[in-house]
Amino acid sequence: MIDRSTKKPLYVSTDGNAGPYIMATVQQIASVRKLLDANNISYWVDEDAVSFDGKPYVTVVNLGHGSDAENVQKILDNAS
Amino acid sequence: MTLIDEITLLRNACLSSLDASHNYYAHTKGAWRLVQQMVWQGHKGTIRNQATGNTVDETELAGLAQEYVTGYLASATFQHFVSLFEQFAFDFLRIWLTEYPGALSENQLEFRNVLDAADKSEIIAAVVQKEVHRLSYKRIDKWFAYLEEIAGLGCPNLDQIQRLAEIKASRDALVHNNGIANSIYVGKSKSLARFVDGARLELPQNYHRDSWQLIRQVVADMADAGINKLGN
Repeated sequence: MIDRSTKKPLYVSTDGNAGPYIMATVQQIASVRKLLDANNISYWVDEDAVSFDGKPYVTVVNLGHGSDAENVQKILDNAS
Repeated sequence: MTLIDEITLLRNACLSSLDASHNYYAHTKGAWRLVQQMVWQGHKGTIRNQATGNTVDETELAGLAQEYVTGYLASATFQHFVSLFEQFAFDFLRIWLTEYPGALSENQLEFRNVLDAADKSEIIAAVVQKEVHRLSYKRIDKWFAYLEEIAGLGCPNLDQIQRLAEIKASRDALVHNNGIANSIYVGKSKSLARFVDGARLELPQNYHRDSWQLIRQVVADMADAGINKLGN
Protein backbone atom coordinates (compact mmCIF):
# COMPACT_ATOMS: atom_id res chain seq x y z
CA MET A 1 0.00 0.00 0.00
CA ILE A 2 1.40 3.36 -1.04
CA ASP A 3 1.23 6.46 1.12
CA ARG A 4 -0.72 8.93 -1.02
CA SER A 5 1.13 11.97 0.28
CA THR A 6 4.73 10.71 0.07
CA LYS A 7 4.18 8.19 -2.76
CA LYS A 8 6.32 5.77 -0.77
CA PRO A 9 5.14 2.43 0.65
CA LEU A 10 3.41 2.60 4.01
CA TYR A 11 5.70 1.05 6.56
CA VAL A 12 5.43 -0.39 10.02
CA SER A 13 7.75 1.46 12.38
CA THR A 14 9.41 -0.68 14.99
CA ASP A 15 11.62 1.93 16.62
CA GLY A 16 11.41 2.23 20.37
CA ASN A 17 9.86 -0.24 22.83
CA ALA A 18 6.21 0.72 22.57
CA GLY A 19 5.23 -1.77 19.90
CA PRO A 20 4.95 -1.20 16.16
CA TYR A 21 2.90 1.54 14.59
CA ILE A 22 1.98 2.96 11.20
CA MET A 23 1.75 6.63 10.28
CA ALA A 24 -0.81 7.34 7.57
CA THR A 25 -2.74 10.28 6.21
CA VAL A 26 -6.27 10.72 7.41
CA GLN A 27 -7.56 10.13 3.86
CA GLN A 28 -5.98 6.70 3.86
CA ILE A 29 -6.98 5.54 7.30
CA ALA A 30 -10.20 3.86 6.19
CA SER A 31 -8.26 1.70 3.71
CA VAL A 32 -5.64 0.77 6.31
CA ARG A 33 -8.33 -0.15 8.84
CA LYS A 34 -10.18 -2.27 6.29
CA LEU A 35 -6.99 -4.13 5.51
CA LEU A 36 -6.10 -4.75 9.16
CA ASP A 37 -9.66 -5.83 10.00
CA ALA A 38 -9.70 -8.25 7.08
CA ASN A 39 -6.53 -9.85 8.46
CA ASN A 40 -7.68 -9.87 12.10
CA ILE A 41 -4.91 -7.53 13.21
CA SER A 42 -5.78 -5.69 16.42
CA TYR A 43 -4.97 -1.98 16.55
CA TRP A 44 -6.25 1.38 17.68
CA VAL A 45 -6.13 4.65 15.80
CA ASP A 46 -5.14 7.93 17.44
CA GLU A 47 -8.21 10.10 17.87
CA ASP A 48 -6.39 13.18 16.69
CA ALA A 49 -4.41 13.98 13.57
CA VAL A 50 -1.57 16.40 13.12
CA SER A 51 -0.60 18.49 10.12
CA PHE A 52 2.97 19.75 9.90
CA ASP A 53 4.02 22.58 7.61
CA GLY A 54 0.69 22.67 5.77
CA LYS A 55 0.95 19.05 4.62
CA PRO A 56 -1.99 16.55 4.83
CA TYR A 57 -3.15 15.53 8.28
CA VAL A 58 -1.43 12.40 9.52
CA THR A 59 -2.54 10.07 12.27
CA VAL A 60 -1.07 6.96 13.89
CA VAL A 61 -2.31 3.38 13.83
CA ASN A 62 -0.98 1.75 17.02
CA LEU A 63 -0.43 -1.98 16.81
CA GLY A 64 0.60 -2.48 20.44
CA HIS A 65 2.98 -4.87 22.15
CA GLY A 66 3.01 -8.40 20.84
CA SER A 67 1.97 -7.43 17.34
CA ASP A 68 3.85 -9.15 14.50
CA ALA A 69 5.33 -6.15 12.69
CA GLU A 70 6.80 -8.27 9.86
CA ASN A 71 3.47 -9.87 9.13
CA VAL A 72 1.68 -6.51 9.11
CA GLN A 73 4.34 -5.08 6.78
CA LYS A 74 3.79 -7.99 4.37
CA ILE A 75 0.06 -7.36 4.44
CA LEU A 76 0.60 -3.67 3.62
CA ASP A 77 3.13 -4.48 0.88
CA ASN A 78 0.79 -6.98 -0.76
CA ALA A 79 -2.15 -4.61 -0.77
CA SER A 80 -2.76 -2.40 -3.79
CA MET B 1 -20.71 29.24 52.72
CA THR B 2 -23.61 26.80 52.37
CA LEU B 3 -23.06 23.11 51.65
CA ILE B 4 -24.65 23.62 48.23
CA ASP B 5 -22.04 26.30 47.48
CA GLU B 6 -19.24 24.05 48.71
CA ILE B 7 -20.38 21.14 46.54
CA THR B 8 -20.74 23.45 43.55
CA LEU B 9 -17.20 24.76 43.99
CA LEU B 10 -15.83 21.27 44.50
CA ARG B 11 -17.57 19.97 41.38
CA ASN B 12 -16.43 22.88 39.21
CA ALA B 13 -12.83 22.65 40.44
CA CYS B 14 -12.68 18.92 39.76
CA LEU B 15 -14.26 19.13 36.31
CA SER B 16 -11.94 21.99 35.40
CA SER B 17 -8.91 19.98 36.55
CA LEU B 18 -10.07 16.90 34.63
CA ASP B 19 -10.46 18.96 31.47
CA ALA B 20 -7.05 20.59 31.95
CA SER B 21 -5.46 17.18 32.45
CA HIS B 22 -7.03 15.77 29.31
CA ASN B 23 -5.96 18.84 27.36
CA TYR B 24 -2.43 18.31 28.61
CA TYR B 25 -2.61 14.71 27.36
CA ALA B 26 -4.01 15.68 23.95
CA HIS B 27 -1.65 18.60 23.39
CA THR B 28 1.44 16.76 24.56
CA LYS B 29 0.57 13.79 22.38
CA GLY B 30 0.05 16.16 19.46
CA ALA B 31 3.45 17.72 20.08
CA TRP B 32 5.14 14.30 20.01
CA ARG B 33 3.26 13.37 16.82
CA LEU B 34 4.62 16.58 15.29
CA VAL B 35 8.13 15.46 16.23
CA GLN B 36 7.52 12.09 14.56
CA GLN B 37 6.25 13.80 11.41
CA MET B 38 9.19 16.17 11.32
CA VAL B 39 11.59 13.23 11.45
CA TRP B 40 9.48 11.36 8.90
CA GLN B 41 9.86 14.34 6.57
CA GLY B 42 13.62 14.37 6.94
CA HIS B 43 14.22 17.03 9.57
CA LYS B 44 17.16 16.61 11.93
CA GLY B 45 17.56 17.40 15.60
CA THR B 46 19.36 16.40 18.77
CA ILE B 47 18.32 16.66 22.38
CA ARG B 48 20.85 16.51 25.18
CA ASN B 49 19.75 15.96 28.74
CA GLN B 50 22.21 18.13 30.68
CA ALA B 51 21.40 16.30 33.90
CA THR B 52 22.16 12.77 32.68
CA GLY B 53 24.44 13.48 29.74
CA ASN B 54 22.13 11.41 27.51
CA THR B 55 21.93 12.60 23.89
CA VAL B 56 19.40 11.42 21.30
CA ASP B 57 19.16 12.20 17.61
CA GLU B 58 16.00 12.54 15.56
CA THR B 59 15.70 8.83 14.77
CA GLU B 60 15.96 7.80 18.38
CA LEU B 61 13.58 10.58 19.32
CA ALA B 62 10.91 9.35 16.89
CA GLY B 63 11.13 5.91 18.47
CA LEU B 64 10.97 7.31 21.97
CA ALA B 65 7.97 9.42 20.96
CA GLN B 66 5.77 6.37 20.46
CA GLU B 67 6.78 4.96 23.84
CA TYR B 68 6.25 8.28 25.55
CA VAL B 69 2.78 8.78 24.05
CA THR B 70 1.35 5.28 24.50
CA GLY B 71 3.26 4.49 27.68
CA TYR B 72 4.43 7.23 29.99
CA LEU B 73 2.00 9.98 28.96
CA ALA B 74 -1.08 7.78 28.89
CA SER B 75 -0.13 6.26 32.24
CA ALA B 76 0.70 9.54 33.98
CA THR B 77 -2.48 11.30 32.89
CA PHE B 78 -4.63 8.23 33.63
CA GLN B 79 -3.21 8.15 37.14
CA HIS B 80 -3.95 11.86 37.47
CA PHE B 81 -7.60 11.36 36.45
CA VAL B 82 -8.00 8.73 39.17
CA SER B 83 -6.22 10.91 41.71
CA LEU B 84 -8.55 13.83 40.92
CA PHE B 85 -11.56 11.56 41.32
CA GLU B 86 -10.37 10.25 44.70
CA GLN B 87 -9.73 13.77 45.91
CA PHE B 88 -13.24 14.81 44.84
CA ALA B 89 -14.88 11.76 46.44
CA PHE B 90 -13.13 12.23 49.79
CA ASP B 91 -13.64 15.99 49.82
CA PHE B 92 -17.32 15.41 49.09
CA LEU B 93 -17.59 12.97 51.97
CA ARG B 94 -15.70 15.31 54.25
CA ILE B 95 -17.89 18.34 53.61
CA TRP B 96 -21.10 16.28 53.82
CA LEU B 97 -20.08 14.66 57.10
CA THR B 98 -18.98 18.03 58.47
CA GLU B 99 -22.45 19.41 57.75
CA TYR B 100 -24.20 16.26 59.03
CA PRO B 101 -21.90 14.76 61.67
CA GLY B 102 -24.73 12.78 63.24
CA ALA B 103 -23.65 9.76 61.20
CA LEU B 104 -20.48 9.69 63.31
CA SER B 105 -22.15 9.91 66.71
CA GLU B 106 -20.95 6.41 67.66
CA ASN B 107 -17.32 7.14 66.68
CA GLN B 108 -14.76 7.32 69.42
CA LEU B 109 -12.28 10.08 70.01
CA GLU B 110 -9.20 10.49 72.17
CA PHE B 111 -9.76 13.01 74.94
CA ARG B 112 -6.55 14.71 73.82
CA ASN B 113 -8.36 15.84 70.65
CA VAL B 114 -11.03 17.51 72.78
CA LEU B 115 -8.45 19.24 74.97
CA ASP B 116 -6.50 20.45 71.93
CA ALA B 117 -9.56 21.74 70.08
CA ALA B 118 -10.40 25.43 70.19
CA ASP B 119 -14.09 24.76 69.65
CA LYS B 120 -16.70 22.13 68.67
CA SER B 121 -16.11 22.57 64.94
CA GLU B 122 -12.47 21.51 65.38
CA ILE B 123 -13.57 18.38 67.23
CA ILE B 124 -16.01 17.54 64.43
CA ALA B 125 -13.27 18.16 61.84
CA ALA B 126 -10.94 15.75 63.64
CA VAL B 127 -13.57 13.01 63.79
CA VAL B 128 -14.54 13.52 60.15
CA GLN B 129 -10.91 13.46 59.01
CA LYS B 130 -10.29 10.21 60.86
CA GLU B 131 -13.41 8.62 59.35
CA VAL B 132 -12.57 9.67 55.80
CA HIS B 133 -9.01 8.42 56.28
CA ARG B 134 -10.34 5.06 57.51
CA LEU B 135 -12.64 4.78 54.52
CA SER B 136 -9.86 5.59 52.07
CA TYR B 137 -8.27 2.20 52.76
CA LYS B 138 -11.43 0.33 51.83
CA ARG B 139 -12.38 -0.89 48.36
CA ILE B 140 -14.19 1.56 46.14
CA ASP B 141 -17.54 -0.22 46.39
CA LYS B 142 -17.39 0.35 50.17
CA TRP B 143 -16.88 4.09 49.64
CA PHE B 144 -20.10 4.30 47.64
CA ALA B 145 -22.04 2.03 49.97
CA TYR B 146 -21.04 4.35 52.81
CA LEU B 147 -21.92 7.45 50.79
CA GLU B 148 -25.33 6.00 49.95
CA GLU B 149 -25.93 5.28 53.63
CA ILE B 150 -25.14 8.82 54.80
CA ALA B 151 -26.33 10.87 51.84
CA GLY B 152 -28.72 8.71 49.80
CA LEU B 153 -27.68 10.23 46.49
CA GLY B 154 -28.75 7.26 44.38
CA CYS B 155 -25.58 7.43 42.29
CA PRO B 156 -23.25 6.24 40.87
CA ASN B 157 -25.04 3.11 39.66
CA LEU B 158 -23.68 -0.42 40.01
CA ASP B 159 -22.29 -0.57 36.49
CA GLN B 160 -20.41 2.71 37.02
CA ILE B 161 -19.06 1.52 40.38
CA GLN B 162 -17.77 -1.71 38.83
CA ARG B 163 -16.10 0.21 36.01
CA LEU B 164 -14.54 2.60 38.52
CA ALA B 165 -13.29 -0.38 40.51
CA GLU B 166 -11.44 -1.70 37.44
CA ILE B 167 -10.06 1.75 36.65
CA LYS B 168 -8.77 2.16 40.18
CA ALA B 169 -7.32 -1.35 40.17
CA SER B 170 -5.50 -0.50 36.93
CA ARG B 171 -4.11 2.64 38.53
CA ASP B 172 -3.01 0.71 41.61
CA ALA B 173 -1.20 -1.85 39.43
CA LEU B 174 0.55 0.95 37.53
CA VAL B 175 1.65 2.63 40.75
CA HIS B 176 2.40 -0.32 43.02
CA ASN B 177 3.25 -3.19 40.66
CA ASN B 178 5.18 -1.52 37.86
CA GLY B 179 2.25 -1.78 35.47
CA ILE B 180 1.87 -5.56 35.74
CA ALA B 181 -1.58 -7.00 36.49
CA ASN B 182 -1.59 -9.24 39.55
CA SER B 183 -4.11 -11.20 41.60
CA ILE B 184 -5.09 -8.02 43.43
CA TYR B 185 -5.93 -6.32 40.13
CA VAL B 186 -7.93 -9.33 38.96
CA GLY B 187 -9.74 -9.61 42.30
CA LYS B 188 -10.72 -5.94 42.44
CA SER B 189 -11.75 -5.80 38.77
CA LYS B 190 -13.81 -9.00 38.87
CA SER B 191 -15.64 -9.63 35.59
CA LEU B 192 -14.28 -6.39 34.10
CA ALA B 193 -10.61 -7.37 34.40
CA ARG B 194 -8.92 -6.54 31.12
CA PHE B 195 -5.74 -8.49 31.80
CA VAL B 196 -4.76 -11.73 33.48
CA ASP B 197 -2.34 -12.07 36.38
CA GLY B 198 1.19 -11.34 35.10
CA ALA B 199 0.20 -9.46 31.94
CA ARG B 200 1.42 -5.93 31.25
CA LEU B 201 -1.37 -3.39 31.55
CA GLU B 202 -2.02 -1.29 28.48
CA LEU B 203 -4.01 1.90 28.17
CA PRO B 204 -5.39 2.07 24.64
CA GLN B 205 -6.69 5.48 23.74
CA ASN B 206 -10.38 4.57 23.83
CA TYR B 207 -10.01 3.09 27.32
CA HIS B 208 -8.07 6.17 28.45
CA ARG B 209 -10.80 8.43 27.06
CA ASP B 210 -13.69 6.32 28.34
CA SER B 211 -12.15 6.29 31.83
CA TRP B 212 -11.83 10.07 31.81
CA GLN B 213 -15.42 10.42 30.58
CA LEU B 214 -16.77 8.08 33.24
CA ILE B 215 -14.94 9.88 36.03
CA ARG B 216 -16.17 13.21 34.74
CA GLN B 217 -19.74 11.92 34.54
CA VAL B 218 -19.70 10.48 38.05
CA VAL B 219 -18.28 13.69 39.54
CA ALA B 220 -21.03 15.74 37.87
CA ASP B 221 -23.78 13.27 38.85
CA MET B 222 -22.70 13.03 42.49
CA ALA B 223 -22.46 16.79 42.86
CA ASP B 224 -25.77 17.45 41.11
CA ALA B 225 -27.53 14.75 43.15
CA GLY B 226 -26.18 16.28 46.36
CA ILE B 227 -27.24 19.78 45.34
CA ASN B 228 -30.73 18.59 44.34
CA LYS B 229 -31.14 16.71 47.59
CA LEU B 230 -30.11 19.72 49.66
CA GLY B 231 -32.30 22.04 47.64
CA ASN B 232 -35.47 20.01 48.21
